[in-house]
Amino acid sequence: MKKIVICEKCLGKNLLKESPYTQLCGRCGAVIYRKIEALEFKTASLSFSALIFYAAAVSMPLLSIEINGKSSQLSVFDSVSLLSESGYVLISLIAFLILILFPFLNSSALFLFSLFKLSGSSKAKEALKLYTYLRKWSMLDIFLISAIVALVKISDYAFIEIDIAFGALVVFVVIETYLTKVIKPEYLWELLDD
Amino acid sequence: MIRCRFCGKTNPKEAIRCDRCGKRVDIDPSSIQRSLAFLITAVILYIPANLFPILKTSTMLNSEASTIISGIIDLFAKGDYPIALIILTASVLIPILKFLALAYIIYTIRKCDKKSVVEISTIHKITEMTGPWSMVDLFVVIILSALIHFNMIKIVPGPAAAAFGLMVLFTLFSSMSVDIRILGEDCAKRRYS
Repeated sequence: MKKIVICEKCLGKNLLKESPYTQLCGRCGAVIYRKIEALEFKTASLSFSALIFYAAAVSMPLLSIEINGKSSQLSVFDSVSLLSESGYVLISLIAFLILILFPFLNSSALFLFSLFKLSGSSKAKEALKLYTYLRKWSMLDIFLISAIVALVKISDYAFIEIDIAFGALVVFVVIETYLTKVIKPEYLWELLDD
Repeated sequence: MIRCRFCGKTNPKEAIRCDRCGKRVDIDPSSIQRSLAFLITAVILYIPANLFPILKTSTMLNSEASTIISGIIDLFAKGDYPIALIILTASVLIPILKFLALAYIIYTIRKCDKKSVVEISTIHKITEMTGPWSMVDLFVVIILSALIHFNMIKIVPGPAAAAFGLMVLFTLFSSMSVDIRILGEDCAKRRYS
């Protein structure tokens, strides 16, 4: 039986062709379907890589600075815990959720979904639900840009050294951006219909 | 036929729950009120976020507080134009444009203007994509306070930081509450205005 797909952009109804690779909405031209080969394998390998780079990016120092002989290091985890210790509970809670917990759950849920789907487990649906909920709430990409902005702000007064975790954060952001922007949750939900 | 907002599945018009993901699929008329309530909260939070200092710098000699606007003026004065423009765009322009865009979306949906479905969903998409980028200023404050906490000089978040973070979150909630599907076939039959 042919499937009817409603366009997210114009709400127009489209009849899905037999096994298309990409299909555009007949009314507004938006992409309504895209077939990505071996999607489960791609999401499994990319989300697993994302988790490895996440661990390094969050726990290890991103950069070090030195001002008048005094040095200091920045890591995502330390910056959140320092805020909490200094009494900025609300800001540290927001930062903890969007910089530490959600990015971790996001990549973990996608990895678990891929594994469950490959093994034929019914838990794949629950993992995909979690991923669909959280994918918009991971903000480490914005943190990366903010780190660059902060460095430019203090570059006149401080000696700055970029550490290896900064590279891990860049790789994590690239993988996560590909996963969230190119592989839409709709494509993953389609896998559950197969 | 109705599209599930959560998983994209096409369900029968009379369906209450999506037969694929199990989420509610019927149109919730109160979503527009919810979106408006979140938007109003965000606009209210935008006032302390701009009036109070977002960053406090304490040295052994003195203490200095800077608001978002004074920070941008300082950056322009120092000649850091690219950074000043990033902060100006992310912290001032994007929030204001987001407020206007969300107000326009809510107004159009309440008016049931079906001719503008594509326009509204495009504006909504842009609002959702650019929304989180307003967090740049808050993250810069978090990074600076984590890096610079020596005895001689210390940077700490000001009261505006929490207000600013909450303002961004509430605009995201407002944007997420918007349900473009209200502009569908039976829009005029429902009473949204």
